[in-house]
Amino acid sequence: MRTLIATFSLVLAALAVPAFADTPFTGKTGALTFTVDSGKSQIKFLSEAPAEKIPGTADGAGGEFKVADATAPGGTSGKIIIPVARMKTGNDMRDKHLQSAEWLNAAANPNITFDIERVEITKVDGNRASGKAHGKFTLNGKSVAKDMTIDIAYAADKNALKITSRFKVSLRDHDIKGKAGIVGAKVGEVIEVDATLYANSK
Amino acid sequence: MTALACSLAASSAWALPRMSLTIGSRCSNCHVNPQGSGLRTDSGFYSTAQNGAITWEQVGWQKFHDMPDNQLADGRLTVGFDSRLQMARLGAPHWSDDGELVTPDRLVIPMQMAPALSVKITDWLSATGSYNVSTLQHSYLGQSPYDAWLQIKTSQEMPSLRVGMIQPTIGMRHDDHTMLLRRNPLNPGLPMIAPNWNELGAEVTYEGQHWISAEAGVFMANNLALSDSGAVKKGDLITSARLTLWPQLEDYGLNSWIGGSFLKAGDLTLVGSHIGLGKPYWGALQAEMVMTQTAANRDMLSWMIHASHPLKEWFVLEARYEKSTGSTSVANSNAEMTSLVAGVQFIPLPNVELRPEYRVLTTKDWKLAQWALQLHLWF
Repeated sequence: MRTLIATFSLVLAALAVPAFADTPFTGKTGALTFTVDSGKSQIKFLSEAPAEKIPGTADGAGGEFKVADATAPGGTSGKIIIPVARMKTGNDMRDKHLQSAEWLNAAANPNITFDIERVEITKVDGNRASGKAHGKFTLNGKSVAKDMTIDIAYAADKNALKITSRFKVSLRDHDIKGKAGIVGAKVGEVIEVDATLYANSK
Repeated sequence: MTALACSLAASSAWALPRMSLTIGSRCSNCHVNPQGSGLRTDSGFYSTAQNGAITWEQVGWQKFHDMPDNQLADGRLTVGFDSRLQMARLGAPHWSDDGELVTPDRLVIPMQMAPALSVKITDWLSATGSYNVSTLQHSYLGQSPYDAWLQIKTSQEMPSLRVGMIQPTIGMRHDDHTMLLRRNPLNPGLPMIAPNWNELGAEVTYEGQHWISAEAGVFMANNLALSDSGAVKKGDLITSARLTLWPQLEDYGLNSWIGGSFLKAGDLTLVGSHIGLGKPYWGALQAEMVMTQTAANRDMLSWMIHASHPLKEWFVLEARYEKSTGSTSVANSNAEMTSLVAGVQFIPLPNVELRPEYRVLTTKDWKLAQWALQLHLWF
């Protein structure tokens, strides 16, 4: 009987371990809701064109997302919001230009958003994980489906997350034409984005 | 005498390399001339159109405030002008019979009144020119009253060609023609290279990658033979080249350039180098060096270091120190000049700049310290 119990326990443990091994939220169960720390999160972007390389930052990223089941984070959903007005390129007039109707049209579309529809975890190492966030990326009022590579680090003691992602945004995908002759010569057709988001659980 | 006076005291701005360093943008992004200076591109116009302590909107000129660019005819024409009025003690001090150093009177002179136009003839061919009306009143020996060129540019990635009356590209084209980099300490009354120096010739410019630019040109010496007649004769061939690397460390928000120049004209050989570092909202630090040698053993070495810091985008502190030494074995003479300039670039209204400066120019024989003021209007 003892052998049977021990065997049953081992089987249970073996079944249980993979369930937790697919998540960085070690030891957590149930739903987790995270709010993006606007003050700490940092987004950098880089436009690289033959005539000019323009680095920039986008402060004030916010939003919220919910991990429906900490043991299976695939069901994560939520929204990340980046205010266009907080985008800086190192020159005030260029920033105004960036927000104008020819470019990101901040008056009509004040935010860049990423609607997270699901998350796919491909690798877990303790409280760290990597994978992809699938969702809808909206810029200049136009949405496209996007799969973003993500790296996650979970601080269990603080119930806080650090998410990093590098992805590219095509201006053409979002109907951003700019002034004639500028895109491709002075502004890159594709913008590289390097995002570091910090989020705290409620 | 006018040329002597102007070269010793007055400043005149043509372009602002500090802007290039702080923004991390090449001169050609803001100026039609790839060297910088003069007529602004639509981007260049826009980048300063609303920069001022107060804006045109605040004084009721809404239409001027909202003007999107300086182009007409669906972008076929680009128009502009630069106008500068300089107040300074013009001329060299002299010793009176009583043994006292007499400083020259303070005068106000028009330095530049230059309308400019660029016409886009086809997608790959354009014609650009400007005429400095103030040269009708005074000009430097070797100064060209105008520049004019045809430019063939098929794309940003490909080299472009300019043909016409243009300035051979050497060093950085600074905003002050009194800089010692282009002066001759052995003959301080004349600039070795005159302001707005242009020659008839052709130059190829490559700016196909953001991290490198290169220029090479061939010209016929005419104006340089006037300003440096000891080394260059009319009709001498001028060859020039410049290579600049533009490293950007975006993780630190730093922009930089480093490069070298070469010019050969008649008996004159010039070698130069330039280096700069800038950061948005922080400012820029630049240094430049020029060495020249002639067949007659006239050697000169000039260098300068320049710092700028924007308290506001419309209020920029500036200072520079320069030194120039020269010697010639023929006359068995040597000379030295130093210059210290500290000032402010103040833009009370967009397209209006006031530049108060304090200048100290020292030679072996005299020292001239003075306040100067420049009013610059542009479009």
